[in-house]
Amino acid sequence: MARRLSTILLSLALLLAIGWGLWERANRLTLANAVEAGGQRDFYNLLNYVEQAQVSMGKSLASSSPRQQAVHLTEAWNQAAAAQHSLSQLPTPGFKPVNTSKFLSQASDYSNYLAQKLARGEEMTPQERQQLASLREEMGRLAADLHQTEGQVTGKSVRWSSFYGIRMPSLPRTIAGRALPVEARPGPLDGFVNTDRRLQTLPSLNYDGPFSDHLEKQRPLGLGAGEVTQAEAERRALNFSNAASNSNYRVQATRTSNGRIPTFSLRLLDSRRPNVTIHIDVSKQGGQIVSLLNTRPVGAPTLDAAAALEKARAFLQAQGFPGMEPTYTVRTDNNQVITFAAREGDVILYPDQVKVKVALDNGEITGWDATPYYMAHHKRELPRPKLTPEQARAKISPGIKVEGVKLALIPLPGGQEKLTYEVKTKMDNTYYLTYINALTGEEEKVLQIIDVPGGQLTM
Amino acid sequence: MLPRRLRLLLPVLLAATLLSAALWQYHRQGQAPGAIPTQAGTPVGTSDEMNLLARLIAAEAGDEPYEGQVAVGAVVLNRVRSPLFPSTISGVIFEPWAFESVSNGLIWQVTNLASASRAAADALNGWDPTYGALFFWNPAKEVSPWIWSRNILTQIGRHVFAR
Repeated sequence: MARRLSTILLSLALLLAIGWGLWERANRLTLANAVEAGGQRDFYNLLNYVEQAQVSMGKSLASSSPRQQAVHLTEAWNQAAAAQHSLSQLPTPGFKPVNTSKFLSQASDYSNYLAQKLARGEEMTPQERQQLASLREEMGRLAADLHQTEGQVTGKSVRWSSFYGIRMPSLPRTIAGRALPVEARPGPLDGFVNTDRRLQTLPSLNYDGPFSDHLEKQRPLGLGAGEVTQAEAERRALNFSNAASNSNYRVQATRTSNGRIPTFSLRLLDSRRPNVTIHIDVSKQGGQIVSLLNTRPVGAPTLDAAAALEKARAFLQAQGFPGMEPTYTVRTDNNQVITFAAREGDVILYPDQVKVKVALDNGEITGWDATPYYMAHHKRELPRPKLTPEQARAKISPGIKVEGVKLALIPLPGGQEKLTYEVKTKMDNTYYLTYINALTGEEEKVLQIIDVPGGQLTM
Repeated sequence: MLPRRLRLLLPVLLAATLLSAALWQYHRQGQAPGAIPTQAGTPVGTSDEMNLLARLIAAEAGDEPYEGQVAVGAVVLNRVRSPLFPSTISGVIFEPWAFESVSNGLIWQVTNLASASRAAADALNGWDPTYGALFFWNPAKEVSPWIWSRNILTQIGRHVFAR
């Protein structure tokens, strides 16, 4: 009797287990199909956009009207950017097609650069035509490579969903490896790997855009001469931090950092207040204080934005940055972050920026970021403006209210600087900043001022 | 032969395991991503992106020193500006296998976002303790060997930062 009962129970349990397993499997397959669809979508989007971009680049080369050229280049810009986006979301385990990604970004950015140039009424130079033609050729080669992968995709030797899975634990993995030695056969993504390797060898592309290769090698211009020793860096860091907090710090640890600005990076402890630490970076070259972050949480505010601005201004003055002009400000948590720009005569130098963060509970300086300042600051020969402020004001469309005009040096993508008139305008309760080149009268850039809680941002 | 009572033990145990597994599965489905905890009481500027970035920082570097948290936020923003990566914060964060915490779902489980939110705000305001890093990883964990070919800039806490 009991034996029978146990048999029934056991078979019931087995059936349950099988049923549960099948149900789980069905669930897994549904998810796998959804993932597969996502991978296929990204792959075919990539393929289509690459082909379209190649066609648009060809059209812009074949067209003889600058306006049509600009239209086709704008299409190529969007198509190549969409291709880059699709590529980045494609699951490619174990390697990242960074060179393919960079190629697509640059092709997109270069098309945008040329389109903008044509829109300004200028023409493509023969070198630029040549450059565009070789980018188009490379785009065609990429399309051909992707077609080859497409063959594998339709032949089901590439399944995007198969790349997701949990790795076998190491013991069964070694046993399985012994039992079934893996033959060296081409992996499903070899096509991608080879394409990426070939694109790594492309010559560098230099132009006035944010992804130009020359920007990779940008060096800080404003640090001054001479290397400082670690002891000197620590001394400067302590002086600066003691002034910022009106307290007394000691060094806890020092490491070095080898980024765009090589620094000694220090962690400081407050001798008076427990658990207050500062992270501060001193440049090796010139020994400048590049960045400071006080990590303490800030309590309920007792100061307003105007009082914080005064604190920040006084601190800048004391640290040897006189005459800096506050440009915009934002409040995050109980901190006010104020961005200052340097000034030369009546020209604001937007590239030379310093950010100061003030704690609104006691007015302590809790943050400092002079990275943009030290990257850009150098002695400049500013040209004399050829336009008068009135002429710049006259460039604004009628019907848009002008609120003010001032001279400003602005950074443009590609690392150039232009002397402009900054014209503040108002349209439908929104403020805009329009930058009119002070030498040519061209409009260089428009920014929108966005109100955020406790401050303003430009975009 | 085993005594009768013990013979019954095995199927009963098996049934109990199955039942509890089914119940656990049911329970898990009950708390699908609908129940994402949001940060309470922290006023944020551009809240949508900031929230996402704070969540990633908390999941990737929740127990790292503060500057290490800002650094992780800065890596995301450096990627947004880099031609090698997507051009939006969400695009960068949800790239396949870009971040371990997205792959294993930890990003949806973090609850303490206080410090991570401050770090995200500092990163969005321009602070970058790495000066241009695009990658970071924990050298104590298993990582793709490809990553070691990148140019290492510095180490903050347990994370190595590279370009």
